[in-house]
Amino acid sequence: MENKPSKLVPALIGGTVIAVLSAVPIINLGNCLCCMWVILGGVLGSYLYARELPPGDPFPSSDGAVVGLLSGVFGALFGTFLIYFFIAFLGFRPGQEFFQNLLESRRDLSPELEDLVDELRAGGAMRPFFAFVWLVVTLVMDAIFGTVGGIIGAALMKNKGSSDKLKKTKKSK
Amino acid sequence: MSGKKSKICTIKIGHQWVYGAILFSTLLWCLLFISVPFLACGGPFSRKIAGIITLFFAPICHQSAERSFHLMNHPFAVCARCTGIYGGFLAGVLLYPALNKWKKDATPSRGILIGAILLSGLEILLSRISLIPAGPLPRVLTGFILGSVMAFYVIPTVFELAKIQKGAKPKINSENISPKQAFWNESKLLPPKAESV
Repeated sequence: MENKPSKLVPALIGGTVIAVLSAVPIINLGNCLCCMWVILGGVLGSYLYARELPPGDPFPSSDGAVVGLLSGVFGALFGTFLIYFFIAFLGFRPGQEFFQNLLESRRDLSPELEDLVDELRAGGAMRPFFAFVWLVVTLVMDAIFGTVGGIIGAALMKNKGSSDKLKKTKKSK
Repeated sequence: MSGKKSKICTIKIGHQWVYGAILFSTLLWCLLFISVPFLACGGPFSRKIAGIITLFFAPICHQSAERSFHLMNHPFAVCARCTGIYGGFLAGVLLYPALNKWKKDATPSRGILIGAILLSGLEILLSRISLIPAGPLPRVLTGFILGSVMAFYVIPTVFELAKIQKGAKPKINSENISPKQAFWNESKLLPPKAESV
């Protein structure tokens, strides 16, 4: 049996980073750049997993993808919890300015978007239905982009020693 | 004992099926954001759908209309850079069978990925300090390169993940069998009849 390090701890750390960066106001706008924080969380999870690997062991990209996927899932769960904590206890409404910009930018769809945004502004965000929809959307997005981050991380941290080791074993055969 | 041989049951989902699933999901994703201008031209219901799709993409893109491609006077659901990335990924998926043989699972060198990321970063930096014109062409071009490069890392990884091992029986540990038996196992020939004692 291969003794591989646990993927859970790196994924939990990556997920926490995704959640915090995606929930804190202003900083969370970084996600507008192709889910930057989610991809970064996946890369971080991948990096932490690579650190746990014994020296010379290969780091398959599938392992990186799994760590990234788990980071994304944890990030979505923790992030939703954090955002609803902000709404419920601090009265903070995440994305208010963002929605305002969206309405100004997308004037062609403003009546339709306004209906949705107005409902969210009027406290609709606290309704279980919206919370569930938010959780599902972030789960899908964070899982996809977290996996991409994990794959990028695995590609960036390909263990050079392992490929040398493989070449040597091939030569010796 | 039953005469059944114990063997590892490895289900290898055909690469073609996995590839088809990736191609289908990428096409669906691209159709989703391209469909918004068409839906925005329709009746109240289709406009509502367009609004929902726009909100769906809101967490991952700034969706600024000035930085997006337009169709029939309506912008796509994502900006020009994101359109380039997703379009590039689709192109990469379409080109993958031609450029990378089905059974070659290895991802390309990391230098290519670093180069594509740096190129996008450089474009953002240069357009910020106005060294290159801030138009949609550099954004979409660098995004397209990054997206198409990403496809060559994502597809082999999904191929690797799709090799599901239905662990019926553990592998025979080579340390627990005699060298003679290992030789016959490797050569896949029948061992000679046991000598009569």
